[in-house]
Amino acid sequence: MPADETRLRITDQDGVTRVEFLDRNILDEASIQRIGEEIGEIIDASSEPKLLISFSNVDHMSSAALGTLITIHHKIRNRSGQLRLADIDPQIKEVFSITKLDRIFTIHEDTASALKSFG
Amino acid sequence: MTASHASPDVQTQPDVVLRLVSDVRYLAGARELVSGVARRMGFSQDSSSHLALAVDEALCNVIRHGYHQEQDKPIWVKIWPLADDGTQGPGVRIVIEDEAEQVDPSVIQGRDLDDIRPGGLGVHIIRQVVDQADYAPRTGRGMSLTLVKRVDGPSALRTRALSNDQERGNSCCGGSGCAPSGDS
Repeated sequence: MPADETRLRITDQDGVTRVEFLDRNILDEASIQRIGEEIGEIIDASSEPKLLISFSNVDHMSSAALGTLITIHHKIRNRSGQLRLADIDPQIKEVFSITKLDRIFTIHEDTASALKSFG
Repeated sequence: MTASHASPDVQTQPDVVLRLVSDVRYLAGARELVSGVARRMGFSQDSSSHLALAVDEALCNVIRHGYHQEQDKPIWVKIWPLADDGTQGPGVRIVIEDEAEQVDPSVIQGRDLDDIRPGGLGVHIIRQVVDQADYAPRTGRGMSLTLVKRVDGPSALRTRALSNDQERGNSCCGGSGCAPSGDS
């Protein structure tokens, strides 16, 4: 995979940046790092970013990807932004529960309800 | 992935041996194997998924930290059924072995989950979803991780409690979202 090839689909809807993953598996270090950098650039480009990350295409992700999500959460909080996660497979959702990250992230069943929740 | 009967570090032969190279493309196959075997050993769907998750995290750790993303290094996943011994019910023992650099097992630790930062989650996940997880240097070279999980062991009870919580709606995930303390 070329280093500059995006692994994300990014769309803008009513001031909310919606991020979807192109890969079904988010596992390897290079992809995770690239995803973190791309989303970091989106956050840095806005004073109060509103970000919705949809996992609708994702079947599996490693705990390393969770680490990147934590970094994204910190960045958004530091910029007084809002972050929502949606469309998470039940097995992946369970990983959030096991690691207690479901207490940190705002998780919605689907994109529609997540979009409605932005203030 | 190829079948193998090599088992240099244990007294008894495992029922199942999977040899794969350190390429993330094969993780899905390893997960499906472990989950399928666990189901047939009497584990619930949730416990089987958790066991597969533990193996997956362990394999990811070997590939990332042991082999530094090199894709052609060997990893073995060996599975033994555990009989009901009168005090503990039936279960499974899974040993994951590699030929990576040996490390002191005491430095392989998860972290306090209230300390919200990247890293250390994989080991925590593994310890949470199995009854026993022991790292050790292999004879010669490489490391081994022994996972033990009983059908009615402590980790299975945690799984049931978690499932019950989610069924009762105590999970953070809901159609209308939730309001976690750390909303950003």
